[in-house]
Amino acid sequence: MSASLVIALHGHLPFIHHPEHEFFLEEDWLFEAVADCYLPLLFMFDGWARDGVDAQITLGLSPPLLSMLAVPLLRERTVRALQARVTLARRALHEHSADSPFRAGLICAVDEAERGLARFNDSNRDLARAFAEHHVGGRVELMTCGATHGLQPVLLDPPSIRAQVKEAVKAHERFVGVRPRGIWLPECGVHPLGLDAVAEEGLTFTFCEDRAVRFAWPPPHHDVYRPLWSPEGVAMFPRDPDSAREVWSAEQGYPGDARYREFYRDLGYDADDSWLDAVHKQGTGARKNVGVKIHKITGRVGLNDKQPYDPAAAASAAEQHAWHFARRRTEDAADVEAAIGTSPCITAAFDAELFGHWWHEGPWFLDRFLRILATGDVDGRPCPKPVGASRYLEHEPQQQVAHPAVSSWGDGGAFEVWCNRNNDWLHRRLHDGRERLSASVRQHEAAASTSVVGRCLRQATRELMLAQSSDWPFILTMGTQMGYGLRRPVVHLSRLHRLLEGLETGRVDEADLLQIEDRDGVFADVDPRTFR
Amino acid sequence: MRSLPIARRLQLVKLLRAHGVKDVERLREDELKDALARLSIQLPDLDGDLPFAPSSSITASSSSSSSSSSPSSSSPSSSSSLPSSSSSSPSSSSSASVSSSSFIDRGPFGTRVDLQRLQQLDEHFDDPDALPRFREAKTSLPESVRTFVRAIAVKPGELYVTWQLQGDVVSIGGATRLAIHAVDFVGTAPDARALLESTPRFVVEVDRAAPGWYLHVPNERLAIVVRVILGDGDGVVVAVSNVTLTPPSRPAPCGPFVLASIAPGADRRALRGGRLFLAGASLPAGVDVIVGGTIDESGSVTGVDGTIVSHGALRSSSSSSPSSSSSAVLTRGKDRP
Repeated sequence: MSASLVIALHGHLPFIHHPEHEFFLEEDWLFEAVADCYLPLLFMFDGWARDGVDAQITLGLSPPLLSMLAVPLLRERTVRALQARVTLARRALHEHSADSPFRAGLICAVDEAERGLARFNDSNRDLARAFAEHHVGGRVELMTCGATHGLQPVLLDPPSIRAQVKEAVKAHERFVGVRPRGIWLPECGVHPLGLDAVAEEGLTFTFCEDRAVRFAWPPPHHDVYRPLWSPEGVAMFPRDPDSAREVWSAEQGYPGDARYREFYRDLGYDADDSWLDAVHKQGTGARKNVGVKIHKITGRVGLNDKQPYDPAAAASAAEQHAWHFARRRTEDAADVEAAIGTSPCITAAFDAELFGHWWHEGPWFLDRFLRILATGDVDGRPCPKPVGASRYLEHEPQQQVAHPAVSSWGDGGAFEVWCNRNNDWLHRRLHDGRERLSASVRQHEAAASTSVVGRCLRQATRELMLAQSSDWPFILTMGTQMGYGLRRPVVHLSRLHRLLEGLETGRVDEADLLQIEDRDGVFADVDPRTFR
Repeated sequence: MRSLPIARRLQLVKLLRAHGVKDVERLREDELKDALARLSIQLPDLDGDLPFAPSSSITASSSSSSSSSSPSSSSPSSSSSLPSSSSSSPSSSSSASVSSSSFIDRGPFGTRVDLQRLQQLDEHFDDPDALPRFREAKTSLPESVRTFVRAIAVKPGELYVTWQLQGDVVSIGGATRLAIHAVDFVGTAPDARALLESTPRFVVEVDRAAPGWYLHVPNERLAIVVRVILGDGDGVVVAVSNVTLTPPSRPAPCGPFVLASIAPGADRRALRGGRLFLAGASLPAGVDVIVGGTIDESGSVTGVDGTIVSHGALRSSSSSSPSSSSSAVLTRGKDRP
């Protein structure tokens, strides 16, 4: 087999659902991701299907993301947000004269907003199923992630880790319609407990930071240029640092090109007040990002000095960068193959939202890059074949066996981001909640078949798992959206104790239980017995 | 306002509150029209489905809150609504309340607010601005009745230990010590029982009231378990932690070079417990294992006859690490929230 390129994208957002408010700022994370990332990725796959492009990527859709994509209210609100982009972009285009330097950017914005809204509605507002069609068509391999993105090497609790994997697989099957074969371990967190849980669910591959393989025991024969089998039979695909750096680095990466669209300048703040309606203003009159952006990065200048965005110039940049990346990977593959004496597998793994959300032209770049590789040669030289993880393993079932190193993709390959003086209090509280849940499950197991007791235990399980998300300690470390990052685990743990208190005293507040279920009833058939 | 049907009234209340208008139900009809005109609110089809079904409980909640409920200062998002004090005390009952003082004087119409009722809402509900059916009790994290200790390897050479002591053990006087059982290992990590059979690598005295400690441990591939010992002399072990593994910072030493061929459909469940690496373990169908000599730190493979059969791929030199420390140094963790 020739050299292979496994592109893996990790799609995830924490579960954010606030029916108690007409508008909720953090729900915008989902709407922005749908508009800027997931719909453009769908367009990419649509194009491959239309043009018969022989390429495949591996895409993780985390259970919280899939759950949000399935919530009817959030689907309605997604339409509202997409429609708001259309109306603002149209209005702005209407207000700009024919010779305005912003017209090209606005025409692009109108087109993207209208096409995005139409695609969303055409897919019956069910993006999971839309991706599933491309999964069946072989253009993408969908994988799952931790049920609520709990970081396994920090959870360090067998029942919690098992539940995170087990419920993830069930959720994936429910929303996508097929059982996943792989899992993106949250934060690329590798730990033997987690790999055992992954094997228990019959999953066959995952992705990891290069350290997990470079520091594996015994040492890897092919460095990061082929996956390892973990002793549990899980293929560990290590990220290639060079591929990551070229795309991801703020200094050296492609997304910083001056021709690309500026993320931080948004018409939600720039527009004339009369162009904005209640949706644009979060229902409170406060301005916010709407997602209509018509400036380019320009260079190292202040936001006020950003120049008009030129989509044609940006497309040209994406084309250049796609060719550059294709040539680099082709050269790398040839060099590595000469060094190791066998066909290498280069793994390029990224956060999905880099493509489209943070880097508007990312999907254009990705599309062009993969179409180039799909032709089989770059400048007359054989290039790596873009395949999904399972397809690669089908062709290359023989790999070295080693214990991958405990690691993550955080700073230094470790866990300080998720356990430091800004968030360490949470870990004690999480374990306290887990112990109380386990005690309740054991105590009430016989009565769990009854409606209220069973519902109470299931919701308490959901609350614990939602509190376990690595997103909250991450937010507390990064210092952005601190209030929300602090509030969420506290609310979930508070509910867990309230529900179990009701169970223990025989006074369950059913109205309270119902409203909690309506807000955060993820994983409909969650199994509390995992926490026995 | 009061002359409107209840369903329509609830919709208007909800809409106007979301737009920053307070005391909605007290507005006269002309004030209401003025408010709608100023805010350019697009009313939904009032004949269509309501966003929530009116019920007796909603009606009661709505009416009881109508004179005192109020929007948050900028948006319903809690990101801007937590009082600053809560950041140091997420367990406090006030942590999730919406600060009321910032918006009391902000109303666009200068309407009077019933402060007493507002405070009552704030005291009872986690989010007084939530739709009535979603209002829930204040968040609170009760003091636990459990005793445990948790150990988390944070990074190479650093361990975080947190614990909770409750019930009878609290009355045990004397010192509070952490016994750190740490074993350098490669391959399958030793379990807690094996670790506890080893002599503690470090014993450190800690402040019982502290919520946790950061310990600097040798920068090795360690499997660690921690015991909490209370009392002087031998003391009493009151809690034993989970096993934690420190993330390594350098390539591993040499070991056997093992290859496996695993068919796509091979049953991974039968490989749990690391069976691919267990000598003599029975393997499921579709799995073949080949042992091909040894592999060193550079990735070079030496065949079973001692000859180098293949050189490893070059690695980044940045993967080396600082030398390990031989002593445990304590750093105090953040105070209990």
